[in-house]
Amino acid sequence: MRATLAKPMIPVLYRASFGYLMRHPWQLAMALIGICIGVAVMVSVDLANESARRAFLMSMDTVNGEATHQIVAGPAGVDEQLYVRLRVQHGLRNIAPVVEGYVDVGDTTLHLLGVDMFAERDFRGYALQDLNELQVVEDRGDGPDAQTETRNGSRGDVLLRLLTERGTVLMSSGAAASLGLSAGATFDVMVDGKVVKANVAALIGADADRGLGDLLIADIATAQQWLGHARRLSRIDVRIAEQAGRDLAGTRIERIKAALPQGTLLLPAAARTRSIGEMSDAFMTNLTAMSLLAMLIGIFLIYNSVSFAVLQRRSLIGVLRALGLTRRQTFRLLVLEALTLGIAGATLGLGLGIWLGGKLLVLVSQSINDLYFVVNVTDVAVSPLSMFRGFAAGLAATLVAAAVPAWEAASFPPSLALARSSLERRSGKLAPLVAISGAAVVLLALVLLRVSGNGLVAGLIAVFMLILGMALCIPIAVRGSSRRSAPIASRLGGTSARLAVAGVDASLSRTGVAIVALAVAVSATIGVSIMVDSFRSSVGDWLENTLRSDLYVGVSRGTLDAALVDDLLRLPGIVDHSSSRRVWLESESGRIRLTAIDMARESYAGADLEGGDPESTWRAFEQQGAVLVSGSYAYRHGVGPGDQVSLPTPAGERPFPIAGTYRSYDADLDALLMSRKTYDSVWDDPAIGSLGIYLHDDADARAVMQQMRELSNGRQALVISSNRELRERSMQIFDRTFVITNVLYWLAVGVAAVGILGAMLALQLERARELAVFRALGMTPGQLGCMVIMQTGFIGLLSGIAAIPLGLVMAWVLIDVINRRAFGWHMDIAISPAVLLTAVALAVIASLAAGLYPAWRAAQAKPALAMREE
Amino acid sequence: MKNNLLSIVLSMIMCGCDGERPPAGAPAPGGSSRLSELLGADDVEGYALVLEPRAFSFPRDHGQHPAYRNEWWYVTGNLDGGGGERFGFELTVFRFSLSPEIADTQASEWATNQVYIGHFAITDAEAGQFHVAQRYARGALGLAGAEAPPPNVWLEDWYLRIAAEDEADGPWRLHARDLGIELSLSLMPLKAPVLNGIDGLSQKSAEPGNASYYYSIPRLQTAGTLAIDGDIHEVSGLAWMDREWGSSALSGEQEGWDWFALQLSDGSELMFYEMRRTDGLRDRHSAGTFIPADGESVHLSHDDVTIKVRDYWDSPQGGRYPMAWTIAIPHLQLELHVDPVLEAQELSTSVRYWEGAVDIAGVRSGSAVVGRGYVELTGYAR
Repeated sequence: MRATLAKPMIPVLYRASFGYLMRHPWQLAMALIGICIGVAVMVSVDLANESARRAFLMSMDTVNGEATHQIVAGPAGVDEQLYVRLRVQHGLRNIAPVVEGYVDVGDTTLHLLGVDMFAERDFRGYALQDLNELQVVEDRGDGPDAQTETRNGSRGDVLLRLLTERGTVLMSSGAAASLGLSAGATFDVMVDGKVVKANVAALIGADADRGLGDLLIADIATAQQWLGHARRLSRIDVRIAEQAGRDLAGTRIERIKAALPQGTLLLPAAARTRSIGEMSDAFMTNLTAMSLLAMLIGIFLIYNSVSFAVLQRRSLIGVLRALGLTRRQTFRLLVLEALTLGIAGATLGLGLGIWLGGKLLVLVSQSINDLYFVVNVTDVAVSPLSMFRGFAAGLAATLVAAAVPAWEAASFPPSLALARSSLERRSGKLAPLVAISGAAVVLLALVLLRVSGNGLVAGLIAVFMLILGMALCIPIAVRGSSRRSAPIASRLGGTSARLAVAGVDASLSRTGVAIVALAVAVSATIGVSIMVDSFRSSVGDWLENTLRSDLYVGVSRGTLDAALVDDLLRLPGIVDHSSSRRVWLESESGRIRLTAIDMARESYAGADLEGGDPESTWRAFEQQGAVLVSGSYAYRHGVGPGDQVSLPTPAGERPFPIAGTYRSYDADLDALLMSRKTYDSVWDDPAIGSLGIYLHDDADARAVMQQMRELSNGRQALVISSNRELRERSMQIFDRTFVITNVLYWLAVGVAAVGILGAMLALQLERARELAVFRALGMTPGQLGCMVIMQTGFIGLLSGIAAIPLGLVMAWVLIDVINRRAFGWHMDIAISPAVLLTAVALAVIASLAAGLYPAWRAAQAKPALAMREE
Repeated sequence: MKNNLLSIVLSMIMCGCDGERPPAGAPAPGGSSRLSELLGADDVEGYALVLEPRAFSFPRDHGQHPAYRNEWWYVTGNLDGGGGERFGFELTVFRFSLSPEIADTQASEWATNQVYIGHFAITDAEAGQFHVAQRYARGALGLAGAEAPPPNVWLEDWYLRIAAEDEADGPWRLHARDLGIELSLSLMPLKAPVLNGIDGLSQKSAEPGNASYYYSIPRLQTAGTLAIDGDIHEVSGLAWMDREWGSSALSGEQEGWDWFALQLSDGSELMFYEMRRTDGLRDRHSAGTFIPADGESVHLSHDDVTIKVRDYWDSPQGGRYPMAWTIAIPHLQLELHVDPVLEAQELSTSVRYWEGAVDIAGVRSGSAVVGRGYVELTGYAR
């Protein structure tokens, strides 16, 4: 009987549901905004990360071409005679020499690839293939009759020019377009601070999809000359076809390895690319975590909207249930409704996400360039996978958020459903239960932190569990505090204040969620602010301590001209100097950054040793060939003084004792410090990357800098900075890195504020009759509006206060767990009361702002009309 | 007698399409008009020109002459396997100057104006197969080069080591390996270098300077091993070496040539190149040399020789090649029938040409002679 009645009812139901949402557009909008923003933030971070990663991989693909392996050696590169030996004596064919580096043309950084065109065919055929449509500009005639003529040249013409004219290059059409250059154009290239003239022999890669964006190809002789790489190769590309069979490939690899001298390695190209790309992984993982936080807050918002939509129709649902609508049908109806909302909201979110992704990408790629490696990326690559992930997450979040109220509505006996009070009673009873499960989640999170070693993902999961667990405890805290504060409020602000405060408790099912959402968002700002502040002050202290020289001399890329260094150091006023050379050592186990330093007397105090006796540490460092490892390295590899680190040297792998660990914030990587003496005894690489100059007390730093500029003029463009300038620049880079973090947490607060607005509107709406009664009892519209404002203000205050412990815990986890696990950094926690006060103020202001409109509405309501509503 | 392959070869390297049809817009292979356009008289400025005969000196002249734009070492030969197999081989190293001035090698040893190109071909008559490999390298860093003395010409692991004159009994060495084929030979010259043309100056067209210095070593006793896909053959036979250098060769009206290097059973050899003009006529600069078993070699002008084509072969890649000839030199009382060992001996290298082993049967002064040799046909590919 029920079933037969229910069937024809379904379309009516959907119409009713649709009609309801249409009649409450703001509510519809709120739900949509929640889903939309959540999805958008997640998708945008995902897209920005993926685009940066893809751009990097694509540029590596372009540069590596078909190489399956690469022969690499120490800092100075591979001896070019090895290449000749491999070809002439060993008869190896599928190998190609590469001399590469980064150069600047104006503000654009280009990847310079010096190749031997005769060996290129099997490696980077694209560069050769695309020369099809090249244009050659020729000068015809002299004097007044002179004219230039453009004709279609042949590949032969181009190869001829590349081989015979130094400085001719192939440029990717993309780079040429953005630099305003065309085939035949002559332009200046800045290589290692020196300006050289280049000429575009031809453009390559009309097809923009190829990722040739930042490529400059030159003959290997030109590249060697520009980069000062005489007799050295950056690497030798090797192609070992897999299809030849695994055994044969293995034999070939062994054959090549046998032909390599000590200290020269054959490494798989893909693994090399991966190990470079991995440098930014932790950074990207953290961004993703931030985006998930936004999604979490989005879920609260959705829950809020959907459950309110259910709440409002309790009477309607009660009637329908009484008329024979089954639980299942009720549940299905509500879930379907949520699904529709979810699809609409998520779709909007995807659009917004792509737009936002473009903005984020600029920040992300900037940070990667500052911190890790060169990546040129301007356009967001809209990856279907990222889109799908965002869409699915949005939909799933909506369904989860809707499932609870839908289940609730479906499970009540029809008669009870008619009464709102029953829900509040239930949620009141539920609050302790929720709090207990929250506590359990917190406990679990702590256990996870303990047992997960130094896994970053586990750490992040624990953070989310902590947030969730603590958030679940908020409703009961709200209940307690609102009951306790009601009498105080009454004493302070009279009846309307009392009503406002008590109302928060009375409608906990609604206010609780809003408070939780806001509290979580605000706590994120607290946690992140404290983390950034601590980080900033640690870095500041470290820079202060480490940067001791009066002047710093370096080049934006590459190494200092040796003759120039001699001249610079002869300038009057210089009492001492330190020098450093930073190189990458590669081995089968990955990449290690090695800095060889020749320290000035004063520099010793600057190196921030972590523990140990400085004197014996320095003795081991300077005299016994020991190295210092960065705190990150020590943490990640679980090593310390007394242990050894194995490094690839020209004489093969060699162990070096670890003298101690030093604090460093300049890179989250495997970094080592070695004395110049030790370095020179192992590697034949006299190059100097930068100088620290100590001046006489009465020397004029400005004057010395000026003299240095004059000396270097026309020889090498030096980056000369005073101590203060370098420190400021370092902090700028630091701050730039955290711009994204700021953007993300402001988005989270935005989402939460929208949540408050929604919750307040919902409250006002469902309390319309109650408010009308107040009016009828003599409350003026002003008092009523005031009460609403007070209530939202109180909600804000509660959220802000609840956010403080939550934020502190989050800060602790971010600093001691996440940053440590992600980057291996150790920093001192610095909590400023200002951060906490700001956070509370932020919560109150956000909710007051969100309360304005509901207050105005409440004041405007016509009591007679509102009372008649039922 | 070889053409200058420079521009086309370079174009083809760039597109990485050896052995395939060039993409639209690339110069047509074998397009000698294109060649003469690029390598006309305008382009030879700065290079040494072949204007008058020179005093050859060996072994020095076995090495490179970088002042000239192009140069080659050309070794071809017919070999017999121990089991009666019949093989032919070609190993050629070309040297090209890309610019007259010597590049500044201060900052980079890769800087050079010298490019080497190698062709390695094996004719396997029994299997009916023809194998071709091509290589390029710059003449720098020891990747490729030609030195003397002692004369050594190499392109990566392919090499021809010519014994110096004073170690007359030391054999020459030739080695090439590619595509699963490895050829290792020792070669013993049975005759001294023969100067072709007028005292070694071979005029290729009317303009002064359109000429080359050209000598041949027409008979080298050859023995060694040839491994094809793991099957090792002990081989022996006769080889021929051609050496030529100059800066400019063809005129605009010349389309290609047919070159014959024939070794006869009576101990004599015949070299003749027939230049073909774009209008289909034989060019009057066609010439050759007859080398008797003993005594002075005889210069042959285009009027001395008649060549009749008896058959044709259509290349599957396009172009129709003459494929069997009757060569008559009345004043030497010589008439020879020349037939290919295998028709498909076309090299699908950057410039497509036919170069293959041939069999000879004929009459000289009333007596029957047989022989073997190599023929080269250029400018036919379409």
